[in-house]
Amino acid sequence: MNFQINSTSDLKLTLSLIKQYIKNNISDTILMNELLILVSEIIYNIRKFSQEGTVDISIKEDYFFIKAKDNGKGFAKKTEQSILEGYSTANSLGLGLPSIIRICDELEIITSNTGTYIECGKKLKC
Amino acid sequence: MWEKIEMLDFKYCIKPFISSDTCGDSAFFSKCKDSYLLFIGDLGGHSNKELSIISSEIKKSLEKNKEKNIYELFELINNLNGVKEYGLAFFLGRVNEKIEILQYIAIGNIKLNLLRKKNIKNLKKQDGFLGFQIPENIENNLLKLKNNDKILICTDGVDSFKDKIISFLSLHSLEESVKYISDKYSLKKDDALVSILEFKQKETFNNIEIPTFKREEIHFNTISETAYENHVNTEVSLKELDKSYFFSSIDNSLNSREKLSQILNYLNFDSLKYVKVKTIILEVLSLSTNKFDIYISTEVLQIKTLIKEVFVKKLTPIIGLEKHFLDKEKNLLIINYPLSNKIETNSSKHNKLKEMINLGLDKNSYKMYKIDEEKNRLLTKQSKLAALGEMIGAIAHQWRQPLNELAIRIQKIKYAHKNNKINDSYIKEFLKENMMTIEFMSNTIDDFRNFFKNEKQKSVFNVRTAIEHVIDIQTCQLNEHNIKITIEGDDFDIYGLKNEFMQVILNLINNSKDAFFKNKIINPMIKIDIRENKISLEDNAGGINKKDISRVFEPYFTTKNTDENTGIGLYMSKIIIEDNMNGELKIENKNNGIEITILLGDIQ
Repeated sequence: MNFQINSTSDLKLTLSLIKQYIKNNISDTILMNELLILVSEIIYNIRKFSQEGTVDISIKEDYFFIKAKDNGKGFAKKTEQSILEGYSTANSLGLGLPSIIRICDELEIITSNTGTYIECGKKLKC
Repeated sequence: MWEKIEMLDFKYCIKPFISSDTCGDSAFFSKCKDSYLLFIGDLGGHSNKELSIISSEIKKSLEKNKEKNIYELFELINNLNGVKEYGLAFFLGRVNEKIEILQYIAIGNIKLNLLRKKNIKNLKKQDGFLGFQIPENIENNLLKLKNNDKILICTDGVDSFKDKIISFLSLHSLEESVKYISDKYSLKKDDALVSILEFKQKETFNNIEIPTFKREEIHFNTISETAYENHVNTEVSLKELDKSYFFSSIDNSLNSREKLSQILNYLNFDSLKYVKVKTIILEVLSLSTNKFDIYISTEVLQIKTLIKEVFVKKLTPIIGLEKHFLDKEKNLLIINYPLSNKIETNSSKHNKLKEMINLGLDKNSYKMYKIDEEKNRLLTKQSKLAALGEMIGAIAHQWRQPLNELAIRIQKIKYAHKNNKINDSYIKEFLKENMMTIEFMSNTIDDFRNFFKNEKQKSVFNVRTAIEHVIDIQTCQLNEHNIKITIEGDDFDIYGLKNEFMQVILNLINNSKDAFFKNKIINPMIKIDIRENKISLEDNAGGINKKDISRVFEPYFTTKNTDENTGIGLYMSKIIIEDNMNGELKIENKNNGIEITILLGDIQ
């Protein structure tokens, strides 16, 4: 599933579509909620920090993948702080990135002053 | 509290081309306050004493500034003269003591691999060379590490080994592994550095707190349920602010969120308070569908909503120690926030902002809206004046004949007196006739005056009666032009502005009258038909030109030539019917004239 996020996107709608997709493939509610948090954090970060971005979600061989890209300013200069809880440059609680780190199994981020690319993977079965 | 204990081990082996004091490859690994810093560098060239001096410089700079962010360290290194002169390919990374993330910047021809679970994978890096070809955007990479991950970092003097080393590494220590790769794969034509960073993680149960960014102002208040009871049931209840301080309402819609941001920005709340208020409001709205009413007085922001007690208890951790009060009978939650600066609630600035926020407009749109509003107001005034002009004309017309009659009768007295006709019965007759005429003239004034009162109060009135009233006022004019007017149909009451409605009817009749005159119609007739919520007016005045009929409702558009005709009549009539009375005004050519239809809504 592919989504475009920009300042006018209806995020609630996007998230409910994603929820449906996840529900159709996963029955474990805890896992489902974790995935929703993951997706939601990523999408809201795109909205908060950049004009637009894209999100790609797929389920392959027991793994849930989400790849997101935005054209914001990135956080290359503040990576040390950004992974700590409580740090926020957008007047919010600062729990987004640390939560993403905690929830996903595989995580790669490339951030520069022209945008951020994030790739997360989460194992679906223990 | 489950704690993950991280253990990082780093081993490296350098095979210089000639000797270690002419070697351009270097490694630096150091424990910082909360993290580990790792640097591997490859200066351009080899067999040069300068290189090892520069390498030392880099390491000294790193040691001195090791608590700084990687990005800042990169900038420091980039500015060293030696680096600018010889160029540098490098890896600079950090692993936080308690968070399993490797963050790094890697630029240039460095071999970077991740060995995880018997799989080797290339890690992302950037092309370029410090000093000569710096990439435009410096990328900072983050990688979540897993237990037993090995990061292999080698300079370009080491040949690629792909996955041939996996089995060796899995059976030998880190030190042996590094030596092995160095022996087997280092190319003889350059300095070669092989290094491995090993990440191990153990989960244990421990009472350790999660590392947080130290932000002094956040207090995490946890209030137990009994404390909540005490807190909310205190004698101090919050009084609701007076209705005059009402500012706006926030509900679940997207516009409301914008509104809320605008309001909180206006009140100059610092970012912490801003987040707190916003969080409370949004959390409550997610639990119940009731809206939040926002009141602003000179010193206090008060937010109110209807919400059941059971939900308020859920929200206590978020509301915290803010002054709040729950009226259990009404299920009304009130929270007060003292303002840091006094707000002048009577100022026009405040009221304008209130209007702007409630209309959901931004500054520019609001400006345009106000300009439009002013334009319409002027237009209304003009139209009223124009109508007034017409009315004065009508009064003058209505009075001309009675005044003539009075003049004639008064002049006759001279002759009556000469001829000795003045007696009691003459006087009686004289008084009677003239008083009647004067009364007629007086009634005319009253009629027109009532007609013109600026009526803001809507009322229920009878449509037929209103139309008949207008016709009464017009009788003299209509008779003079021989215009026959008939009213047919049912009748109904409507709720609206009676005088404005009568102005519309007057305008329509006048338009027909002017058309009759212009087109020299012989048998001028106006037929007014009243049905349930529908009034139609038909005339036989010849109709409107096809090219004009679409423009008749435009302001200032007129097909008449005389100076008095401002062209505002139909425009204002349309506004009155459509905007003020929620109806519809249509015009069409029909038979030998036009048909105007007024559709009116139900009583509201």
